[in-house]
Amino acid sequence: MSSTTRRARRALTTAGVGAAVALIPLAAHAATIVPIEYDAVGTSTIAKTGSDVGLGPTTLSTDLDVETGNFTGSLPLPGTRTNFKAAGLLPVQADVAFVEVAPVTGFINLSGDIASVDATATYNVELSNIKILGFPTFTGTKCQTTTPVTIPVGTEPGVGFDLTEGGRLVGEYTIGDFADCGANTGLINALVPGPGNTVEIDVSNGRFL
Amino acid sequence: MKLKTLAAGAAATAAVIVSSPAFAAGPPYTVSVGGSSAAASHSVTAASTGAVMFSIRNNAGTIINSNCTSVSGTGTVTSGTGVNPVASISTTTWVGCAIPGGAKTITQNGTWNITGTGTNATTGNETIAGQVDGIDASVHTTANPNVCRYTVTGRASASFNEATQQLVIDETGYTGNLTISNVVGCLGRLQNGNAASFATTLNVTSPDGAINLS
Repeated sequence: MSSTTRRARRALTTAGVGAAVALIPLAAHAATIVPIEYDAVGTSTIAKTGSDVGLGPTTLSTDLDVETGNFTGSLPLPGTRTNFKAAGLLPVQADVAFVEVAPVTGFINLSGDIASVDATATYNVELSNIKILGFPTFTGTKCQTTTPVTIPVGTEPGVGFDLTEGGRLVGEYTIGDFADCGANTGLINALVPGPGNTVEIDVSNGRFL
Repeated sequence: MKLKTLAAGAAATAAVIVSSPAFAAGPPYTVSVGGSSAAASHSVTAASTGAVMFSIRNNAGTIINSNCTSVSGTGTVTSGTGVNPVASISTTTWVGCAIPGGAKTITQNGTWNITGTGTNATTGNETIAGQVDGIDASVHTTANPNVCRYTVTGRASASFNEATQQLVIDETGYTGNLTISNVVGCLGRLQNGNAASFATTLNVTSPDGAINLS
């Protein structure tokens, strides 16, 4: 997200809050939003293929409601390439793209000595440029999951999240079937979809905007 | 002789203090510093011997810890006869403070008094119960004060050990003697009126010598 967009969004938020206060005087209080950006980098391991997919480095942008602990945000992930062996033998390479289809939403809770985080990110997973045994295959340009992949992440039990220092977020998610992958649709759906895929994201260097 | 704290419950104690400060203050003391009880004001410094425990119990009953690694302070102790409060704390420096989610900054507001609450001590080598009155401090998250800020006010039970020259602050149990107010943000986890607990041990030093009450 560009700084211009952020400024515009904050301006709109401020304007919206002002309007709400003016029009609805009985509102308990206006939400107070604090934008925070983090560096983020991580890995997702696809259970069925045993392959790792790099996530980032990227920027996690959040708007934290300091009155509730709720936040919304964005975690755009740059495309990457993954390698695995089909049936344990055939080397397969593919470009992987996680395309955000909904804002990241989450909640920060305070208890005892730590702040815990629970969040959900939603992406369409796109595959392209698939090579089997090093040979290009026809996949098309619209090979993606038929329904968005919902990825819940959170701090590990007993491990806190620092609003400035950040922390590690982990989660497990399910990948659904792919469609529009040309001749590879059947192969991809045999190899990739399923539960038990894991994600680890290190979030650091919080910047209050 | 050891001076004991008022045994009444917190609410009753608060009511007594409001309506009759002289009773709650206890008998005045003869305070000597370095062996002299001549009327004078002596500078003192205080430094915690370890961590500072500070925690808040919110409306849901959840304990939010907000500790510091250390605190130090400066103030004065008053020597003479008929003295109470016996000392004041004018400045404090808090180090390594954090609430869940980040570092916090604490700023003392005004002067805090140390008041004896028991009967007169006589041997000069005892533990004298009292309290720190007029506690008022502003607290905010260091990185961005808008994330969480509040004010702590009230009093804290304490005792002064003449032998070790230590002031032990032991305001525990969320009695309501110490509460937070002016809460802003804090992710909805702290509310105005939440009770706080506060405990630490401070080495108290005066360049004029040891402090004794009788």
